[in-house]
Amino acid sequence: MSRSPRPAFCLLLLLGLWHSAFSDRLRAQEPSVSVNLVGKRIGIGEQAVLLIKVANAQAEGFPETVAADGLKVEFRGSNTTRKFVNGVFSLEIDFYYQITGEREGTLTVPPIPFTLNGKATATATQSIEVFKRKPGDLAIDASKPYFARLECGAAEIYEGQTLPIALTVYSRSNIHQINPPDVQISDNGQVHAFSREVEQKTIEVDGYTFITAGIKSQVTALRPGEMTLGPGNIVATILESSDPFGMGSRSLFTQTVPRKMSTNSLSIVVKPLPTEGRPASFRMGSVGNFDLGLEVSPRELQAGDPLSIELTLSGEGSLESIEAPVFMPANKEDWRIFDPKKTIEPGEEGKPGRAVFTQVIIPKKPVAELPPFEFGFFDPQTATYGVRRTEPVPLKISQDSALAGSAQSAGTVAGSEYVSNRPVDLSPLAKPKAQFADILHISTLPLILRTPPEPLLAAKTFWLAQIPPALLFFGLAGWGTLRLLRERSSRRPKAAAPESYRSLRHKVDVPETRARRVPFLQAVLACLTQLRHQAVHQKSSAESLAAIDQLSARAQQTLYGPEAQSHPNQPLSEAEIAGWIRELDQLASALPR
Amino acid sequence: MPFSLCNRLILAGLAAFLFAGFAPVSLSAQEPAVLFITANTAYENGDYATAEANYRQIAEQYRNVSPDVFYNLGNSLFRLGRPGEAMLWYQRVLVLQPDHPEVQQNLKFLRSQIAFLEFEATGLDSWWLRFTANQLGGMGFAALWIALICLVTMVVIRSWRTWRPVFLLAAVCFLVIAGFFLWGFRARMTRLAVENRAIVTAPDVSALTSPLADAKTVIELPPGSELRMVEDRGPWVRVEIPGNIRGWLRAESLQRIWPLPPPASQSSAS
Repeated sequence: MSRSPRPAFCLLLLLGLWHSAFSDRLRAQEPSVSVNLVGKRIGIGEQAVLLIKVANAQAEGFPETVAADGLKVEFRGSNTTRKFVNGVFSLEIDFYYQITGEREGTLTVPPIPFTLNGKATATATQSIEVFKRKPGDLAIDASKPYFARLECGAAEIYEGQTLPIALTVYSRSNIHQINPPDVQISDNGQVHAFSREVEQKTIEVDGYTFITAGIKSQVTALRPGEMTLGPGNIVATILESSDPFGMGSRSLFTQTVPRKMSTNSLSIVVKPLPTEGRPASFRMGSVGNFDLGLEVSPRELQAGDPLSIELTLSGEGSLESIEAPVFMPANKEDWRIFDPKKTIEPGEEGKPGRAVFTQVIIPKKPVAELPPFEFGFFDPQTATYGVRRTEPVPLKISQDSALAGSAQSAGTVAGSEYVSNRPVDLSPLAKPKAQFADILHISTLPLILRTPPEPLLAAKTFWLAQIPPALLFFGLAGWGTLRLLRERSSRRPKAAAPESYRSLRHKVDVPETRARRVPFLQAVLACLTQLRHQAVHQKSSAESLAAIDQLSARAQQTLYGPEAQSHPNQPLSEAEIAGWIRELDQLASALPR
Repeated sequence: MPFSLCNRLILAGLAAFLFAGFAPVSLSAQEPAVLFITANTAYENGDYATAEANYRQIAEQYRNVSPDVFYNLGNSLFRLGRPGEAMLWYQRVLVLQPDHPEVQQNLKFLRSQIAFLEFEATGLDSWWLRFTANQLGGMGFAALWIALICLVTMVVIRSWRTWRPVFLLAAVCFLVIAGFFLWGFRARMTRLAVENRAIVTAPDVSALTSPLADAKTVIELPPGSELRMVEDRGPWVRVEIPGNIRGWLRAESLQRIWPLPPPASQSSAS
């Protein structure tokens, strides 16, 4: 038997297919060459790519570098693609040249010579525009897959002024998370904490689509001079595509990768504040434009009682650096002034916050009104100083100590509230006046000493006092429970007692029983059974038991014997009945009661 | 006959319970009484230093206490120009007797003279501060027992069946009262505990931001200001100041309201 030629045939067929697919001999496809310049307008130092695509032909002899005026042209390699479409193989080879702009102007990429299927040829001339980018141009970084930028709104600010800044992360893929940045600043400035809110956008930069994530903050200039802001370092977690299996399916798999970025630096000129027109109430750091509000309580008090003052500053500017408005009394000796306490209340989304200063001021003597508070500030928009001043607040301060009860201490200020811009009712409070101007006299009652109070739960008397009610409660509860249990047991149904001999004997005398043989004898047998139980229970003599058994046997013989079977309905004679009853009674009377 | 012997005994037990345990234990001692009279005489003669020494001897040397001694001592200290210490002893009177009328009146006067800081008691706290913790606890437990006894009586004694709605209403009312007083008792034992409170007794005291002599001032504390002690670090005490402020004070500038310092003999021995 000869071997089958099939495996050898298949192998030959596959070799033929392989040879035809990957041999340089191509069939049924025309050779072609195309040249494409990617990036026809680049900045100095930036790169463009010249792509030479050769299809269905053998190309070789590309030079490594090409001389060009103002350009640097370098060969960067090739990429071969084989295709099998409709049973026809095709071959494409891409050759790459990197072109770097070296000077400004409209420049020319010269023809690049090479051989195509053994024949010398060259690419066509290409034109490219090279320009000089302005400093800070965002597109400088646009060639990178991700980068970060630091931006601020002005290049010049005043000493003490606060300037908003923004740090933005640009990424070509989604940004998953950004960490708080670390932004360097020269010693004449201060960077505030960055906000936690991240603003995301999608923008196009120099032909590339970027996803941006921006966070905002502020910077305050502390001293005149040049203030350098940045660079800032930030770590952003970026969602990147990956192919863990090497199968060319990158779009299916993504992973978050932390990327560290450094921002650009900014130079800001800090100008000194003008000295002309500076108000006396101006304090360093009060740069911006603020509004001043005042609340005072109570408005009716006694000399020596505390006044609770709440001053509110709101507007544009650094709330952190401002100081409290200045109290401007005509005579400071009339007042006892405590240090103000500052609280910053952050504003809602997009709105400025406010600084609240709470202060306690005690009038030492009766005065008619609370003198104004003054707040001086420098407005950088108009480059002038401004002053905000509260209106004097009318007060009713009494020398008499009679109203002391209505006044509260500094920590517990209460009573009607006065707002400086609001009309108020100044009528006096209708309160009874207690007349006293000194402490009361000592107690001269006989001295009664008692033990110092000890904690209730540790006092013996407390626990002793719990005994009577506990006894009463538990006694009542126990008594009720016992009574309930007793009542339940009395209500329980008793087990049925066995029928007594007396009742059984009574059934024997019933006329309906006596009239028929079977019921009469059954009643007699029941009486005998009961008598035997009694005899056994009472441990009667053997003779008695024997007599009962003998009479029982006779009764059964009479009841179930052949005569009874033949005449079941024949009644017993009266003499027979009397005899059975007599014998039954004799046996019963023989047993002890 | 409306009540049987058993019922009379129950009522008698209830009444005995209600009035048991609330009578103060009265003691008399000859020597303190003599000192007290001597001190009163010195006070009325304007010798406040002698009066203060005698009152202080009674207050600090003997184990038993008297609101009147504390009150008179507070008066003597005020006359001697020590309002912070006067305030301290007035507050100690209020520990023993929260409704002491003379002390309440003197406190009003002190408020008008010194701008000391006080914690503001609002809502239920102001009610509970009218009683001592022991009074609140005693009344709470008494009301609880009465409610329980009303309930069990309602269930157990069938001859009083017609009075059942009354017993039920009484039980509910006393349960509510018990809850109120026991809640207050718990508050007085924890949040409002007098053991945590202290009074500024030294003049020119300021609360500082940290336990350092050169730390910044948080607020000035006039003598008599009330504080709540938060942390004790030997020479420095961290306190809560009315107005929800915290700061550090030197330990010698304040005194705890309660308990009283140990008698001089005990403290010297220790």
